Formats: sequence, C-alpha cells, structure tokens
Amino acid sequence: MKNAGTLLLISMIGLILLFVITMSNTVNTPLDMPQVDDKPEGVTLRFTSAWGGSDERAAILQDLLSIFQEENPDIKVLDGSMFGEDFLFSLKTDFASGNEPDVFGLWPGSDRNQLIQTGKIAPLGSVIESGGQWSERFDPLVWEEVQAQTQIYSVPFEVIFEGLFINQSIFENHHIPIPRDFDSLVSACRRLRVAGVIPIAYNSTPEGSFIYQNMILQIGGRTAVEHPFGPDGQVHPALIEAMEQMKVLYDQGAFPDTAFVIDDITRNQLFLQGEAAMIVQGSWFLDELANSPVASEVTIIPFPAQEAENTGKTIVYGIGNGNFHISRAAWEDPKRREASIRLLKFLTGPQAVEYFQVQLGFAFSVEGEVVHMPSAQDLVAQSRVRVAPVDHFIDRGYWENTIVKHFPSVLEGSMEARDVFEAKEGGDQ
Amino acid sequence: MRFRDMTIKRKLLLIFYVQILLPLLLIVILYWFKTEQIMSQHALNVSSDMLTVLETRITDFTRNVKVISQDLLYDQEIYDVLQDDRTDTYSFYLKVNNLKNTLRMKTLSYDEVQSITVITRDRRFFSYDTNSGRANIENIIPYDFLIQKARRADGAPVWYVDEQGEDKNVFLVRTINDRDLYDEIGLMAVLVDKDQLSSLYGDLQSAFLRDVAVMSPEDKLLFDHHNEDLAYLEKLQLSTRDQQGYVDMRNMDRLVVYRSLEDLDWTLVTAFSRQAITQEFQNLQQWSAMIFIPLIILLSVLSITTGLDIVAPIQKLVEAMKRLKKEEGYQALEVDRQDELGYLTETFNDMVSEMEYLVKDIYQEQLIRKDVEMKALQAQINPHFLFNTLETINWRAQMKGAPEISEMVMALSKLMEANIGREGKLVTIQDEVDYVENYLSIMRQRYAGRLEVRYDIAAQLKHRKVPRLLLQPIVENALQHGIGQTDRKGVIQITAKSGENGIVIVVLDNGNGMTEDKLEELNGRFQSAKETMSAKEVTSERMSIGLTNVNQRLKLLYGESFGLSAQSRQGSWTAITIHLPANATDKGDRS
Repeated sequence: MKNAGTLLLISMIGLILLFVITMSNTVNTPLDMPQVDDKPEGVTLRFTSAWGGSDERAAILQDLLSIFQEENPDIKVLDGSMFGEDFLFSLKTDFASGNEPDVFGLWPGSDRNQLIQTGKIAPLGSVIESGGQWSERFDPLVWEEVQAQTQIYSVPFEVIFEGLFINQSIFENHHIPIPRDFDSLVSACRRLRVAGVIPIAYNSTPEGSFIYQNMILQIGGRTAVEHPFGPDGQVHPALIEAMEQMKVLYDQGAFPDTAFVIDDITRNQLFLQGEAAMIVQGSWFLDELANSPVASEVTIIPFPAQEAENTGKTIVYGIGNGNFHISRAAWEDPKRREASIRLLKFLTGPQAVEYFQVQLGFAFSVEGEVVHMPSAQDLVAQSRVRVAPVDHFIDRGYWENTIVKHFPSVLEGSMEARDVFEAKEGGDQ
Repeated sequence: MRFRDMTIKRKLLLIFYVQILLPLLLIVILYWFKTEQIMSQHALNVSSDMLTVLETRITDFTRNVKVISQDLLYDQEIYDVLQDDRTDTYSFYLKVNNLKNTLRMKTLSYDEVQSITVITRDRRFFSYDTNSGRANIENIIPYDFLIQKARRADGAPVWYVDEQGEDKNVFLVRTINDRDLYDEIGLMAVLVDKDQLSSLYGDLQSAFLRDVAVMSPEDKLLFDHHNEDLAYLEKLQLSTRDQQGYVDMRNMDRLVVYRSLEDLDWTLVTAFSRQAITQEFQNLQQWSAMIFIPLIILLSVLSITTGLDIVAPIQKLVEAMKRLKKEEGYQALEVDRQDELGYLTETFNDMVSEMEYLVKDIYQEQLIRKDVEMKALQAQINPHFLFNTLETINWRAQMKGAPEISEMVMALSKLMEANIGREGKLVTIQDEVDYVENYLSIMRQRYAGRLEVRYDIAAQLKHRKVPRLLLQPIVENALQHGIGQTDRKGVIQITAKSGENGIVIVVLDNGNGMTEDKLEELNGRFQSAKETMSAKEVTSERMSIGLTNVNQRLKLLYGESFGLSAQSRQGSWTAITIHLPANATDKGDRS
C-alpha cells in the first residue's frame, strides 16, 4: 500500500491523458468528405459506323468492341452504329451539332471531304508513321485512296466492289441468256417481266441507286465518275445518259411496281426470296446472300457494259465504310486521343481481320483480298479498271436530295433527266 | 498529505471517485463530443448523398433538354425553314408551319421545356411557348450575347443563366449548322421551365437540410429555395476550392457541402443545420444527464454508506484504543456484526479484558513481591541481631546451666542459617538431614519423646546435592498436619534411594493422614505447572505452602516431570515422595 497513492495518481493522470488524447482526436479530426466520384478513371469513346442494325457486320463489330473493352478496361465504347441511310444522316447531324463521335467509319466521298475541309477530322499521318507493324500491313496504294490535302485522315480497312447479282435458276427456267451488254439487259428485263418475274430489285433510295452508279461508270468511265461535274458545275453527259437508260429499263418493267415506296430491306428481300432475278449490290451483300434460300442459285457478274466486249473490264471498287477516322474533338482531348488511337488500331488490326474473315463478302485492304465466293473473286480478278462509287465524288447531300430524290419523277416521265441537274449547272452548289 | 496518511474514509472516497466517477465522467464527456462528431459525419454523408441525388436530377434534367434539342436537329423541318430562300412564300409558310408543329409537340411533350425558339440568321423567330402558346422567349432572350456564346461551342449545346434578368431564366442554346457544309444557319434556344427546375431541389430541403442552392462559376446564387438568406454562400468562394468538399460554419450553425458539376460549370450546394441534426441527440443527452446525475448521487450515497459501514467500526476501535491509551477506561464495544470487523471488535474486547485482568494480577503480584522483598530486606537486617541474641541466650543458658535451652538455641541458630542460605542454594542430602535434625531437636522439646525419626539414606546418595530446605518443610508439614493431630507416638521415616526414574526420597509419617479429596487436591496442585502461585492460592492454602514451595522449586530446577507427589490414608499415614533426577547435579547452584 506504500505505493498505492502513486499508483492512484498515475492512474488518474493516465486516464486524463487518455481522455485528452481522445478528445483532441475527436475535436480536431476533420470530417471525412465522402468520395462520391466513383466514375471509372477511364475514358468513354463514342463510335459509329454503318455497321449497325441489320447489317451483317454489326454482330462482328459488337464482338470486336467487347473484346477491345475487355482488353482495355479503362476504355468504354458506346457504339452508335446505324444501318443504311440513317447512318450518314445521323453522323452529319452530330458533326453539325457538336455531338460528333470520337471514332467513326466513313467511306470516302464528298461528305468525308467536307468534314476534312471544315477541320472536323484529325489527320492521322503521325499515327500511321509510328504504327510499325500495324501500318506496314496495309497495301501502300490504299493510303492514296484516303489522302486529302496531302494528309491521311483515315485508316482504310474495308474495300468494296459492286456487281450484278443474278439468280441463275430464274434465267435458266425461262431460257433467258445472261445479259452481257445493255441491250441484252433490257431484253432480259422485258422477257422476265413477261414471265411474271421482277427483273431487277430496285428502289429509289441512295443504296437502291447502285445500278445508276454502275451505269454511269459503264457509260462514262473513270472520268465521269471521278469528275461528274465540270469546273463550272456542268454535269458530265454520262450522268444524264445513265439516268435516261434507267428510264428505258423502267419503261420495260425492269423494276418492282413498288419501287418508289419500298425500303432497302424489302428491296433486298425481293431478290433474296427469289422474286426478283437481279440486283445491283456490293460485296457487303454476299454474306446476307449466303444465308438466303437462293444462295446456291446466285452468281455475281460484272454490270453489263454498253458493248459486250467491255463488260467486266471496269468495276466499281473502292473503300467501304470500314474506313476509320478520329474526330478533331477527340484528337484534341489527350485522354480520348490516346484511347481513340488504340481503338482505331484494334479495329484495323489482325484480330479484326480474323473476325471479319468469316464474312463472305468482306474484303480487306490488308493481307490480301478475302472473298470466298468464286464468282466474286473472278469479278475482282478479271477487272482492269477499278473505280470508286460515284457517290464518293458527288456531294452526298446533292446525291440524296437531288439526284436520288428525282428518280421517280424522271422514271415516271414527269421530269427530264437533264432537268435534274439544272440547279447544279446553275452553279448553286 | 500523503496518501498513506489519509484516513481510510478519505481513501475509500478518493478511490471511488477515481475508479468510478472519473471514468464515468470522462466517458460521458467523450460520448458527448464523439456522438456530435459522428452525427456530423453522418450528416455530411447524407448531405453528400443529397448532392448526388441533386446532381443526378440536374444531370438528367439537363441531359433531357440536350436530347430534346438534339432531337430537333435530327429533324429535317428545321433545316427546311432555315435553308429556304423564301422565294416561294406558300412553300415557306408550309415549312414554318411544320416547324412550329414540331416545336409545339416537343415543348408540350417534355415538362423540362417551357419554350423553344429557332432563330434565323436574320433574327426571325420561330417559337412555341407553353404559356398558352404565346411566345415571350423572343422578348427575354439576350440574343446578341447568346449567339456569341453559342458560336464558341460550334454547334454543341451551351447552358446560360440570365443572372441579370429578374427571373434568372435558364437557356440551352446552340448554333444550328448546315449538315453538309457545317456552316452556321441559325440558332436554337430552349427556355427551361423554372418550376420543373426548382422541383429538382425544392423537395430536398428539410428541417435538417436547410439550404439547397446552385451556384454560378462567379459564386453567385443561381437557384435556391428562397426560404433563407443564402447570401453567405456567395462569400464562400466555392469556385476557388476543390471539386467537392465542405465548409464548417459553426457560427452560423451550418455545415456547407458542395460539389461542382463536371459537365456544367455550376456548383451544387447543400447546408445542413448542426443543431437540427443534434436535436434528437440533445434529447438523448438530456435523458443521459437525468440518469447520470441521480446515478452519481446514488453511487455516492452507496459508496459513502458502504465506506462508512467499513470505516465506522474501525474508527470506534481507534477511538477506544485512544481512550485506552489515555487510561480513560475501557468500555467493551458493542458487537453487532458477524464479519471480520465484528470478529476484530470482539477479539479486541476480549484482549482488553484479559489485559486488564493481567494488569491487575501483575500489579497485585508486584505488590506481594514488594512486600516480600521488604520482608526479605528486613530479614537481612534481623539475622545478625537474631544470631547475636541467640548467641547471648546460648551463653546465658550455659552460664545458668540450662543445656537443653542452649541446645535448642544452637539448633535454631543452625536452622536459621539454613533458611538464610548463606552457602548457595544446593546442599547435600546429608546437610538436609542435618537441617531436619536441628529442626527436630527443637521440636522434640515439644513432643517430649513422643517423636521418632528414622533415616534410611542410601550411602551413595548422602553427598548428592539437592535444593536447600528440601526435607525440612516436608518434615515440618508432617509434624504440624500429621503427627501433631494425633496423640500417639509420632514416627517419621525418611528414605532416600535411587530408582529407575531417578532419586526418590520419601517422607512417611504415621500422622492423621488426609481425606481422599484433599489428597487429590494436593496432588493436583503438585501437577500444576505454574511457576508462581497466585496470591489467592498463597493465602488460601497457607497450610500447604511449604510443600507447594518445594514442589515448584523442583519443577523449576529439573522440569515438569519432577517434583512432589503425595499418598495418604486418613487416620493412618501420609507419604510425601520427592522425585529427583538420577543425575541431578549442582544445576541449582549455577542458577
């Protein structure tokens, strides 16, 4: 007990000390501000292309984007791809309203050129130059296809070609020869109509007007396609003549009775279900065709030239929608730029090739052209001149809102073909 | 004062306060502050959640308005009107009509929108307003300012709050660009419905969450619930702070929590009242105090009572000890408990009682001892006088021719010499026989031939030393209480021999003997091991004092197993046996 007082004193001091420490901890400790910013540190990219909706490439694209996001957990990709005509409309509106995607696919043409001119697309020269093995895989010539103002603005991954798809069974059943020139085409159409078969699956939409593109090429050659308008806006005669030939076909009953009102899918179905004997389509159509009931009965031939001996020499061949760009807005944001470059390289890399190879009609600008259908291979192999679609060279708005829009009037005879181009020739554009 | 010097009562109270009250008090204070902090933290968390709710609402709201404006840009009718060259008035009218229908549809379909207007580059307005269809957006829109702001965003939507205007109208504006050439063809402005906007934060306000507001990048109030003066928020300069955080304004009873929106340059602010959130807790605190204070009192009373219950008997004992020390007398303490303290008190009572007795006993013994010493001193004076006197009597008797007197005087003189003990305490058995003879030579005068003494002393024992006056008191006792009580001739037989257990000397007389009770009492007294006889025994048993004295001296000298024992038959004989150790030496002389 001698030390009891000391112990008591120490206990009291200890207790008070403990209290003071705890109190100072309590009183002076700042409150913890809850960190609610739980957003991932990564970046979200908006991607868009024409490989959406019912497009056969859409599923593959989705798989690829999923793989990309798994391999790059810091990047989230919002895919806004749309099928058909909606794609271009949406893309342009988004660019016009400051709502542009970060990475997008767009075929060469006037729309792309306009975006480049207005500075909305970033040049990719530095990316390609430093791309190493990735960029070396590309055919050096293909870069020229996407060059503008001495700069490369996109990575062309997909090439396309167009031709005349014919249902051989229908022709054989009605003993009609395969058309080799324009006249035989007209003749075939007439006989097919008589036989109660829709000769050509056509509709008056931009995609339905591939037949018109091919006719311009066959009539006017590369010059007409690449320079549809002269310096003063005067239209190349081939465009007028091709439109007049369209009316010839129309007058022979070559097109469906509902051509002016059906959409693209219905048009394709006419051919895929065996109701129509022919359709002018592109390489991207091969895959859809392969899954149709008429797959084994269809072959692809060059669109008939004016003279039979020229048929097959010149084909529509160019860069498809798998031509990937990075928007200026994405480029100027360091985080989004780096992520966009990674996505761009992935979508045009070996894995993408591996995935798209399963597509019958997907042709690459890298590692050789892969087209499984023999007739399609022949089509490309036998061609001497390859020219991009004419709508790559004509202002897309003008193509859609003027040329394609007036087809019904011209075909119905309420408007002369020349009159369609009057405004253009007036120098309005 | 040192702890150990404190009274037990104070120590108990101190320990009680240190061990119970102090921790309890500290816990209560800690609990008080800690709870306040926890509640504040909780409130901060709730406020942060509220901010998240508000952020989500505002983000959804603004996103919806953006989507509405974006939807309109996907509509061809806007471009039809803006890009029309107006050469065909009827056609233009149809297009304008279509656009107005579209604007009406959008405005009526979405609650967020009060009015939408599309403005051409030459400032022609095409609008619809939910205000009965009468568009007033044209009157309130700061066009010149907005067009500049919108152009910088190049088609992207821009938010603008007209802070100068009375109503602080909120606009979403964006330029409309041509979709082919991407050049500007007009301006779209969406006027947000203020009621819908205020509903985003209005219902979040509560007694706890007092203030909800949206601040501009310039730290100006954009929207608030108008219930309180929120000017203090503008002074906080939240725009200069982190993206999110809190400001503790204790003097205003507010904890301000803020967060900047990423997409908009607005800062969301909530402020909660500490007082409101701690209100319920304060009730709890009051209840705690109401329990705590009586608890303290109860515990104090309990502790003091318990302490006193322990301390009071101790204090009584201490007081009694003090009184005892001051010799103020001791009165036995009352024992009313069975615990250790009760036992202590009872034992103390017994101890004091025994002590008192011992004190008295020793006191009387000391008195007797003093008396004896006094007598002994007197006796030291008298022997010389007595010896001289006896010598004178001896001389006068010889002179007068009275040899028997002379013989008696000489015997008495030798007997006295033995009693005074000038020559050590131990003497030989033969000396003892001589003492007995001197004594008997005197006593024979009295008994006139009626006394016979026989000796049977083993020759080897005659020179063994024994305590002085060992035999004479026993012989004297035999004469006085044995032979003296009868008329017949007295015979005293003194036998000394060695036995197995030592030397045995027996003094046998044929006197009157004693009763069995008396014999038993006598032997009992011989067995008693008391070193000293109490005064009571001395006085009450004077008749056997000689025997007792001898017995005690033997026990003192040789141990408890030696001493006297008595045998007797009433009316016939009495034998007193002296038990001595076989090897009894001159131990007594050394002592």
